[in-house]
Amino acid sequence: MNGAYLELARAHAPLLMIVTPLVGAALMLISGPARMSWLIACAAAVFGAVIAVDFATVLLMQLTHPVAEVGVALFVDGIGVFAAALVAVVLALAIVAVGATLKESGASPAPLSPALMLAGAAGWTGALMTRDLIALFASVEAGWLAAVGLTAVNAVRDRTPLNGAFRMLTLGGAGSALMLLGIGMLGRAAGGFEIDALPLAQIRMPNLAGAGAALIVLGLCVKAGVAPLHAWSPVAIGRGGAMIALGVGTLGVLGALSVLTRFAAYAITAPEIGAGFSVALAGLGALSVVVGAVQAVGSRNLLRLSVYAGVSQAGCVLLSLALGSPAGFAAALMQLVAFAAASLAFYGGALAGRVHSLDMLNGYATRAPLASGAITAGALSLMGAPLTIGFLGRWRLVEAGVGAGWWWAAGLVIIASLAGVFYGGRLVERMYFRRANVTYAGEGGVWRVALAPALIAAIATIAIGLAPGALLNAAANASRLMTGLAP
Amino acid sequence: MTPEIALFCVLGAPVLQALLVMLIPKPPGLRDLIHIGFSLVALGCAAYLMNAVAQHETARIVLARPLPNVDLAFAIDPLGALMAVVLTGLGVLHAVHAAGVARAKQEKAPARLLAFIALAMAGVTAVAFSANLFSLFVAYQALALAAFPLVAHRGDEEAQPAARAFLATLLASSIGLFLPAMIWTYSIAGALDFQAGGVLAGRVDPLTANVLLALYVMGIAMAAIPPMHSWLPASSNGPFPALVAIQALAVLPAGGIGVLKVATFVFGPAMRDAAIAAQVLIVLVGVGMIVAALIALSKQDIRERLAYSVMAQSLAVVMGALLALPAGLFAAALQIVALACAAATLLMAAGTTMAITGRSKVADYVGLGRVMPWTFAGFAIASASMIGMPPFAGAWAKLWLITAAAGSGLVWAAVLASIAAILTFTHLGPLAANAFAGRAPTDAFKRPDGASILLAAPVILAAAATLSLLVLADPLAVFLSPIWTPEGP
Amino acid sequence: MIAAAAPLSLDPALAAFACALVVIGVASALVLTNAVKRLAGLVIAGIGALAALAVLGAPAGALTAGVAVLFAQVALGAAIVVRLQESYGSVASSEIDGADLEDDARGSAS
Repeated sequence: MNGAYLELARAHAPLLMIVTPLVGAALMLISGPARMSWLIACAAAVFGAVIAVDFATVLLMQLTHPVAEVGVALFVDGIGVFAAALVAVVLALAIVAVGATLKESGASPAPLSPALMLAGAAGWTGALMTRDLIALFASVEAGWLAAVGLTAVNAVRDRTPLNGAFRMLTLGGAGSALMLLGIGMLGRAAGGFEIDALPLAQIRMPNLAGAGAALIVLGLCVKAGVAPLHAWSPVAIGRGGAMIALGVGTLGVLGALSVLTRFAAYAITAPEIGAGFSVALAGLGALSVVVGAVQAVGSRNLLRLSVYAGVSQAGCVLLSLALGSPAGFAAALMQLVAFAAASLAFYGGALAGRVHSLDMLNGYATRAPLASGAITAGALSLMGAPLTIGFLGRWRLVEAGVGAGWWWAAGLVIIASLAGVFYGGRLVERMYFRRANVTYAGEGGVWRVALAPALIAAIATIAIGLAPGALLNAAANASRLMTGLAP
Repeated sequence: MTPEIALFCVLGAPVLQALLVMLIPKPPGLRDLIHIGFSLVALGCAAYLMNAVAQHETARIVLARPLPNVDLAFAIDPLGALMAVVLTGLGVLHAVHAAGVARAKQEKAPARLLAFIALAMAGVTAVAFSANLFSLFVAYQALALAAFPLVAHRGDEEAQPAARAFLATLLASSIGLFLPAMIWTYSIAGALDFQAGGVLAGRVDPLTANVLLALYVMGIAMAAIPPMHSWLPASSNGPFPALVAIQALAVLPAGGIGVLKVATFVFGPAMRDAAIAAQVLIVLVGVGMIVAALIALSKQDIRERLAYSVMAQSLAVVMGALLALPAGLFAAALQIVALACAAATLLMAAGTTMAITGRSKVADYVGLGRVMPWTFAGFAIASASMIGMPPFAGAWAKLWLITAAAGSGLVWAAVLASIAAILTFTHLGPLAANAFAGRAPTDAFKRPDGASILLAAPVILAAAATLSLLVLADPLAVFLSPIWTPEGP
Repeated sequence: MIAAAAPLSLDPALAAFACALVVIGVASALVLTNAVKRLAGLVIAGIGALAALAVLGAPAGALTAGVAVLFAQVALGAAIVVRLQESYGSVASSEIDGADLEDDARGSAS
């Protein structure tokens, strides 16, 4: 009997992946006490993650096709499933991690914040599972507006996130107008709004289609915090708490980057627009790598430093996508995993001790050795140190780039890693070789459990770097399972 | 015991040593016993491995497979085994000496100091036994990170920027130059495994070979090739036990071993295709040797003088490797051995002097040999070896180097090496001579009771090791020959 | 291209007008300093995008989705503007950014 239910759940996994967080969010809002609602959020997020990972494992490792027709316009492809599983896992870890800081922003937003995280994740997952460009737009906006709301709601102890939320709204709103315009142009040029039809469609008006695709990417790049469109992220995250850092800086950016990856993988394989699209992605990626790296080196605020490092990482994702080959798509997926793990470890480790500025990091290893370990793992991955997933992601990118003759892309990745040595080295030096100048301000007792996700991410950063075979396989299969489910 | 277990132990023992020393910082006797005991274990394993290599046994351990066709793997070969025996052997002496210095000088955080020295020894051993470029790269980075706390150990305003410069130079060059070269090699050969005869042989055009050689050699900044040498003077800020580890036993030798491995196992005959880059680098290295020796002459602090002096000697390793002849490669290997022995002796002697007399200025060394005869006897012998005076180890290395340079038709390279040797004489010879010829100082020492056996014995034994090549040069030539003549026995 | 496909239609002019609205709206949303005006710019850009969708022949569902998103943006934006006024005592972005910089400096000093 249980087996039958399991099979039923598996058959409807894509729908469950979207519905579970939404139901969890709804339950939270009516559940009363903050801790109670947090437990519900944890349950919903973990359940969603289990479904997503199981579905991705079955699909990408066994290459079987267990999807039932449910009458909803869901569409399963390799990149979507891989990224949706990643988003679900990150959501579960982020929800657990914010437990200790639940009441930081006051009693009333306490249940609302995780609910917004769940709703946002549902939006990004929906965008990864939809075929129709209009539905993609609506899902992306749902995810994005949830992130804006999350930022605004948590601007209680410090007002700066409120300014960040408004920047998010205006920049993201401008991006969504451009995206909507782009969807209209691309749909008109390609003769339909199905994302999977792009590589096969006879595009009658390639210029219009190219412009449309570029506008869509631009809209998504704003939300993913790709330089130079990232003016919102340092303001929103730099002085925010764990909710904003994990809900927006990690989950939101990951969601947007994932959708961008999926859309770009389809658009770049459309013969009529692929070449121009590739150049645009490469240019934007290169700019983001350099700008992010430079800003990270100059940053005095730990959270902003992480934001900028993420901007640089997002540039690497775009560069990988610009290669336009399955190897490039697989590299982009590895970069997404690297970003998620490093970001979770970094933010989780920093926020466990309420550390914002670099000065507060002095002697952190003595005060909070586990949190420092998490930050160190995140920093090592961001700088592309060997035997971390960050190294793996960059290696795959450089390898694919060298294979395509893109030496400059390889050079940029090396520059990003060099910058990582400077800012990462600075963090490590402060944590381990300087004396503390502030007392530990983190949560004690049972709420130390909130550090667990950061440690899990840190361990994953190293473990995947040591034995990446399964993940590389999954990423390779995901990038091959592009159009529908035909490998 | 199998060679695999021995290989695992030689790599793991120093790591365990570091952990135990950190966990059991007191009582000092137990801590020092652990430190010395595990150093002996590492030496025992290295000696076993050298014997295994001599018996034509093989061993390879794989710790991880982070990339397709690329393992984090370590394997035994004649070069690695020789380097491991020499460095872990000197490491035992250094362990004894470091324990003595920590006691005599009341060094702060001695457990941390000893632990990171052990980790640095693990790093250089891993470099020596690395089975491929990736493992070399990982071991190299780990070594840089392990040595960083040694430079920063004092924690004062001078040490922190020096440590940052140290780490930035080493990591930036390896990521900026070595890493691209490695990925390029991977894209050409599809693998990174070291093999006698060279991975790139027959697979690269001359342009690629030249660019790759330049990237590799400059990327291995631990070899202290100008302008990548700034980490070496920066490291002078560390306490003496740290200096011995960095400049004699771990970091600097790791650079030499790295360059030698790349020249031997990555390029092999392909070095002929990279002749232009090799010659340009030889000029750079030769001029660098002379300039470093001149700068050493101008330095009045013994730590700074020795830093530039060992830099000049280390560049001779690179010159030998770049000459691309078996004689050159052999000269490079001998030079690593000779330099490790001599530099360890000099730095330990200077450390003993500092601990007992509190003196670190060159001018203050006058007459010290009369009151510290054993320490300065070692100092004088090591100086003679650095200068290249027979019958000490440095002489054989330089003889082979000059022979190789002449054999390559690069007589000017031999001239450059000879000038550097003369300049080494000028900055070390008078120093050692004045220590004995001058009048004994009459003012009080920091520790009037003199040097303990822990401080004096390692210096004498390390100095005695510089005589080893007198009898071992020929057997070593036979032992090492398989790495550059793969068809040989 | 559009003109070539439908020479006798008003569509090209309408499309150009819609695109102009989007550009004006986006520029206003990004460049103006007053938060309320920026919000108004967003509305203009959104209306322009909806108009463009209509001209380009998108299905009704697309327009509905666009309207819903625009409505949500404006509602959320209005709420944030009110909070900005409460927290900073101003809705001018230059003053808000200046206050943030001061907060930052105070945070680093403490």
